[in-house]
Amino acid sequence: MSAVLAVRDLSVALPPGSDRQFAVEGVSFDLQRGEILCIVGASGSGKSVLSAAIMGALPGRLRQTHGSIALGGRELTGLPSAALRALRGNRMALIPQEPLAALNPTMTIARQLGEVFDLHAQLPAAERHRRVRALLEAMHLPDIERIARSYPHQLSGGQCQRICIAMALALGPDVLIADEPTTALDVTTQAQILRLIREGRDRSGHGVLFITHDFGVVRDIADRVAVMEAGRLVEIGAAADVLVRPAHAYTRALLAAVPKLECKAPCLPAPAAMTVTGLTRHFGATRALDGVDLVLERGATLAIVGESGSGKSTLARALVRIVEPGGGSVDIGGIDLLAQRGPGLRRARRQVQMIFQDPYGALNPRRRVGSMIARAAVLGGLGNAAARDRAAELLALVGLPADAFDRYPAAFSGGQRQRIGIARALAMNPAVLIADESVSALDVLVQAQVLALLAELQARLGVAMLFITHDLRVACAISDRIAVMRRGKIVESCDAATLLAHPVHDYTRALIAAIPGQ
Amino acid sequence: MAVVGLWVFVAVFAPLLAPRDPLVSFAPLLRPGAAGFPLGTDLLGRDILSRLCWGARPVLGLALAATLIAYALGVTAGLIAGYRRGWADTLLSFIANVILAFPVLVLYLVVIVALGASYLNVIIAVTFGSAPAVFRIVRGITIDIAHRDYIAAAVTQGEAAWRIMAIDILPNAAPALAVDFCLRLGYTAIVIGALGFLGLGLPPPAPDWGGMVTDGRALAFAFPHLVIFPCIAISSLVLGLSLIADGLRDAQ
Repeated sequence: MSAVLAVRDLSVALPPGSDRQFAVEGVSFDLQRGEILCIVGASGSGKSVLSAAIMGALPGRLRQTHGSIALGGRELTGLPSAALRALRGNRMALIPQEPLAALNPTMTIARQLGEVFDLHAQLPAAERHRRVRALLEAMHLPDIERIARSYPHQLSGGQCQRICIAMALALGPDVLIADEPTTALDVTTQAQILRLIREGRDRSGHGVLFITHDFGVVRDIADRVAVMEAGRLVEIGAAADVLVRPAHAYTRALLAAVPKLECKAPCLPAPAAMTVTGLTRHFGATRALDGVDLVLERGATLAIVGESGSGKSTLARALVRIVEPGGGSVDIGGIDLLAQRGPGLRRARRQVQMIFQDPYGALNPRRRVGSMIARAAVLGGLGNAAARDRAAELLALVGLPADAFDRYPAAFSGGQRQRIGIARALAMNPAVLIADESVSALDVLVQAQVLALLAELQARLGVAMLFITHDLRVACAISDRIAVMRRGKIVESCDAATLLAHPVHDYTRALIAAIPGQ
Repeated sequence: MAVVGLWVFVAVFAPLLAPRDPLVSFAPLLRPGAAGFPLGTDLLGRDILSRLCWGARPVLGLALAATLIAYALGVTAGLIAGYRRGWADTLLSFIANVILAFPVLVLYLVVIVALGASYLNVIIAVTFGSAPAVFRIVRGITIDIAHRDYIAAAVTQGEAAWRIMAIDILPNAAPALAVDFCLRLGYTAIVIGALGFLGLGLPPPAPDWGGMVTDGRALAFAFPHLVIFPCIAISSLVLGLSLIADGLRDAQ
């Protein structure tokens, strides 16, 4: 086998004043023809900078300070930009993370695909047309003529990603760089895209550099694995070796943090903390919530699992009345939350608190952490002094240092901010905690820590938790019961172990089959 | 920054800095550089430098007062409309749009002609014209911020609406508003100059940059210094405020 891409001692410097000197430091590896090499690492480990450096598309503030990148024996470092441009798209191509953002919204799919040929090869119109159709066919897209005439916004995320892959493969590149290509997609779509990338590789024998943070995906697709930590390549080897017998401590820690498909023992039956009956919410003709019934027991965790568009986030927001439900009832301790108005509503809604998905958007950037949590405690019924004590106590409880009290959210990482969000929610002593994809934006190590924290807090405080996620692995790890949601309806609901072992609904089976890395 | 600082300094210490009484006549139409009159004198023989120094006071004072009042009104209404939406938003936006539909200068003229020329009425006129514009900006920013998760968090905590607006929304809107405030301050200074030029500013003989340009206009070709120096004063002040606004924007 010949190395189609050889990277030697590559370093990319960060601008002065960053938290470390190099984004990528002394990285060397070979990518063989016909091989899928996965680069794994937490966010900020430099894996995206590495791929940008190889594409010769580093952001302006970064520059390559050292090392060489050779594509099929030809050195890329120091190549004039015109020569590099001729190689890009032609000999190496990129599959982006956000397919919709990568496509031009004002051009039809057929024109965008055709343009790729126009840029790098002169083809007669009929030949170009034939090749575009052939590409779309190879992507297993339904109704090719309609899709060719469509604009990107008329297609789903998975379809857009297929178009991006078609574009990348259009000119038969030697190297395909896929930067988290399935992160923005649902699990069932993710499984299809992974299959597509493997198929393309089998057909044309190009090398694939696959960047991801998800070990499940690695298990599914990788021939070899490279692990990055803080800009350095700490381990590289055959997938079977690295995943089974990791040599480096960091790799072991990452692997240990991956949620397993193991269920915790369901808790004992308890009286209901929250009873939801016939909850509806329509957006125009779309039934985001189509008669949802739920019972959440005291001290128990119920996971709501579903793909994007299933209505699970609308459910979370309807339960705290940020989205106003169209009908139904939400009974908490004998009070119907949906019947409340004015001051009654302000009191009643304090029983249900939410932990948000985006740790960066959920905290007011201009308020100090301590005052934010103390204010929640005051609204929960404490006096000012008692609330400050409670806030300090909660910060310690979620594992943050005492000096966090007087700092602003900007001083904290994503995982720490999520802990602050948890402390704020708990400050009100709610009966029900709703976690809306609260660990989805976090790296696997941090995700495992936050999940452990939530489980521990629940055991200690006995609060009921509604845990909303798209990830069945996470749902299994934390919940007593799982409800599967699809198109605004709960299609199946039972304890986690039973759901995994004996799924009844077809959709549940499809979800379980699509879990990566089984 | 330095230019604006200089004018503020001049306005505050006008009595000490101005070499002469701005209202007293000396020899008329002296050229700049004449002994004791570095910028010359006007048609009535008043010292132009002194009139510029004293003239900084009404311009700065009025511009600041009018802009502050416009902001107080615009921010309050904008927060309510943007956060509450519904009929309050419809009503307030309608009023703002009706006012904004008139050419601003015509609006000022109408208000001042109706109420008469005085300090207070200049402030009322400028507030009347500026507040709707401030309202629209604040309303837009508020609608944007109101959709963020930390607002949702405050709502689920059962926080009072006025506290959400004052503590969670306003501080996060402040950086963008600070930029607009400086630009609007400069714009108001121009308006006050324009009103003075149209003879609707301060009643004579009070020193007024816009009024000085009007008085000198007829003789501008023979004695350009009558017009040039007040124009430089207005332009430098507005330019300085714009530069501060740019600086604030870049600092964000």
